[in-house]
This record gives sequence, C-alpha cells and structure tokens, in this order.
Amino acid sequence: MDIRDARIIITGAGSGFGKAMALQFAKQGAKIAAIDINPDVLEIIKTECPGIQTWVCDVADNAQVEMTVNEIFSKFNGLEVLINNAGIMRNAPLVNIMSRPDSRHSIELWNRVIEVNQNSVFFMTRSVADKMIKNRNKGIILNISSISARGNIGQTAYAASKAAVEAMTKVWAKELGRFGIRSVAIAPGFMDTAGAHDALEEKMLSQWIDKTPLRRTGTIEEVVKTVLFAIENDFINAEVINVNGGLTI
Amino acid sequence: MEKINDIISKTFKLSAEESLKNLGMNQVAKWDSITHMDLIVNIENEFNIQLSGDDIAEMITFDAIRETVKKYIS
Repeated sequence: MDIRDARIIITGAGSGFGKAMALQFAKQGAKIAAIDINPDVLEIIKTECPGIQTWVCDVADNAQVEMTVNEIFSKFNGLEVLINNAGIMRNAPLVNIMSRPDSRHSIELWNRVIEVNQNSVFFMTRSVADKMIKNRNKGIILNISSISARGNIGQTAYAASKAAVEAMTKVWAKELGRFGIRSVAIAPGFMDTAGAHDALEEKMLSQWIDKTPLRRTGTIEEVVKTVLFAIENDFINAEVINVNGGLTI
Repeated sequence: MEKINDIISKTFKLSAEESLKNLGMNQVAKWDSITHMDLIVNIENEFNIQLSGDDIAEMITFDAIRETVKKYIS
C-alpha cells in the first residue's frame, strides 16, 4: 500500500507518536482522521496541519467509539489503516510494602489501564474491521505495543495490557487475512517522549539506557518510520516489530 | 454450478459427492464462523461478486449457497 493512497484513523493523535504519525503521513498525502480525548490538542494539530480531520472521542467508551467510527466511515467513504496508538502508562508494584494501610496494587489503576490500553483496541478494531470487511477495504490494523509486554517490573497492568494487544494482533492477523486486512504490532522500547519522562523516574530511565546496547533512548521518528514500513509492505502480517535498540527485559 | 460445488468441497474439505448434497452448517464438521468467512471470500473471488450481509448470514445450507450465488451470477 502506498501511504499517499491511504485513509487512516489514528487514536491518541494529539501528542507523542500519534501526533508525529498524523503530521508525517498527512504531509505524505494520506487522509487522516485524528482521534483524541483532549479537544485542545486536536485544535493544535489542526492549526499545524489543516488537512487533518479531527474527532474528540474517549476510545475506552464503546458508545463513543461506535459513533466516531460511523462518522469517519461516512465522511471518508472507507478506510485502509487503523492505528491503535492511544494508551496510558501507569506504574505500581503488585505489593507496595511502603503503602499503608493497603499495600496491594490498586484495582482502580488496574481497571483504568486495561480500559484505555486494551479495551479501546478491541472496541476500535471490532468496529473498524467490521466496516472494512463490509466495504471490501483491504489494509492494516496497526497496534502500538511496548517492550513492557514481555513483563516489566512495576508494570503489572501496563505489561498485561500490552501483552493482550500483541495477542489480539496475532489473532486478527489470522482471522482478517482472508479479507486482505493485515494486523501488525509495533513494540517500542524506551523512547524519548514526554509520556516516558512523565511515567518513569529519570533515574530509572537512565538505568534502562545503560542496559540498551545502543546506549540511548529511541526517537519518535524511529517509531514513525517503522509504522510507515509496516503500512507499505503488504506481506508483513502477524508480526510484533521491536524498535528498542537491542534492549531485552 | 460445478464451480460452486468445487468451492464447497475445497472449503469444507469434503468429497465431490458430499458437496452435491444439501448439508447444513450443523452437519458439516469443518463449517464454523471462521470457515464461513473463507467460503464467502472464495465465492466472491471466483465469481467476482459482492454478497450482501443478509445473504451471507442466510447461506447456511449448500442449497442456500447455490441458490444465492445463482441469483448474483444470473
């Protein structure tokens, strides 16, 4: 698939990877539907690139997802690419012995991370794939995972949600391939993003850099290039592509 | 008609004789929601047609498959 011919939905498009992908792919000629929960960041992206169309939507809420996807399909008259990028990173040990009176991992935090990182991918993809099949649109479901899917200390909920995303990616590759719809996950390592700096203590980030063979964090552009490669190579399917500088956890 | 029977036979891994019968979804071991998708894709590709959602849902016997496809290609 040529990126110039692609109609693309990007979730979490207001910042980080999502924003970078939206701006880059729009610049290359793709038709972009940018989704974010925050209307302010969507206003900014529209100012930076007026060709990008935006929708405010909480992708963890299925009713909002259905309404938004319906609108996008009727406006775009079909779709080739869904990029499930929206996500949050929250850290907590399973048992925090310093936390009183309850030392156990918060159930609220668990539920929120699963809702935003896992349920949203399921909601978006079931709605979009259904319409792609009905429209006979061929294309790709692209899910943003993480190196943490392999099990990172202090990230029970985040790691579980990303492992689920990778599992769903492989199931959908097998189910949707017959319709010409591929499914691929991209798993970044530790990246130089505002989200990573917010979620991780600088000391911890620096320890991860020491363990990375390339001795640095990755850049947003390196992830965007990988996403573009996955979109344009029509024989890549059911893969989790790691972009992590050689780091293993 | 021969082409449809051939698709039925190949999709559900049945003999040519079995594909001529009017078996239903419950009588064919390999006919489930996943192989039903294969059936639809195989038919659409072979006959260059686009089946409607309602027709896809109603194609649950071999006769129904044959009748539906005939409707599109006649």
